[in-house]
Amino acid sequence: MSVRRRIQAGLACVAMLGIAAFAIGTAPTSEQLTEPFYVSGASNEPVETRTLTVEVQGARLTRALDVSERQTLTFSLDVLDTEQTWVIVDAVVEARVANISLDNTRLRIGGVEYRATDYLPPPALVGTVGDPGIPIAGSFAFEVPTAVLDLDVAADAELVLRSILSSQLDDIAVVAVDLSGLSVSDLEVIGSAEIAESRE
Amino acid sequence: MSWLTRNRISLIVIAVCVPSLIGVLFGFEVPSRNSKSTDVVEISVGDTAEADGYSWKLTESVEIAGKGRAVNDIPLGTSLVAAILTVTPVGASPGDSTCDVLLSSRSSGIELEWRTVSDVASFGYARLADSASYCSLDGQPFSLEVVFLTPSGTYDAATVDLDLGESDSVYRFDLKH
Repeated sequence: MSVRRRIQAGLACVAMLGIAAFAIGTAPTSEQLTEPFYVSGASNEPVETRTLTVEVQGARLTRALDVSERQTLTFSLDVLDTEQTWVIVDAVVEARVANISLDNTRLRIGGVEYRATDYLPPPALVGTVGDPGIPIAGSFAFEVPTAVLDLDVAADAELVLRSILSSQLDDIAVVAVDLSGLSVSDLEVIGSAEIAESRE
Repeated sequence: MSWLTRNRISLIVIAVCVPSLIGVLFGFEVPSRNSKSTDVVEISVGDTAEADGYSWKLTESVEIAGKGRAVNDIPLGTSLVAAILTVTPVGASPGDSTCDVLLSSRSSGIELEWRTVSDVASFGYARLADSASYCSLDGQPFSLEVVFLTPSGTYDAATVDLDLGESDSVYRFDLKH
């Protein structure tokens, strides 16, 4: 092999190594390969994912939840109080394909996620929600440190709705919720989730 | 030795692998999470299906449009769909089992399913006195009255799907129109 051919072969190897390094350096990680598709939206507008449509209608802050509508053999408390603050997010959720479970709904504030309580009167949004095309109106409630609600990040809170626990390569609805400047009531009544009537 | 001769094996591998890869990527339909591997047996109005030692016939179906909670207890934008399946044992030894009944529709391009409503009274509906609300097969004839809450307009293209645990088939009954 001539010197010229050797140089050409060497350059080709270097070029291929460079391409390989670029491919490896820019390749997604295994987590990125399977990460969910986040579908973001604002309050008071429908946010549509593969499995559901959600419209957040507002948020309330309170020191105690009246859940007296909930009557079960194992749960007899009428009021859920807290030394912190309850954040109530009112929403209408509609399944699009089949009934969905919203047990893994979170409220994200400043990068920290708070889990929705499941001690609300059934049927509740935290649980299995309706059949396709049937809008269900109800509330999520989150117990959040009061100090967090005084921070600037409270204005950029997000409701995160995962329709299943493992949401790899599936949609997750993320709805902006402004929690800044809200007054804190002493008690808010939380009823069962109900079918939301259309405005026909 | 020419370039083609020297590289013939590589060229053959490329000629086989590249089309195969393209075929795998684009030629196969990825099954959806809800897709079923079961056979679907379609049954027209008035026809009878025989399965699991019983005959099954959809004898009645109706849509009740929602006029609002205040008017007829059915929310606006929804409809109550009710259907009666007449179940009769056939053959020497009808089995003891249960069945699942769903309402389904494919008019939107994807298959949607609705579960039966258990608390029909909350929608102002009352089953017939001799109808059963639960599908329990015990060798006796009975009428199964199933009720679904659906969005308005679902009835026109919906079917009642009968799933017998013992069978690999889903029996799909057309509704009366």
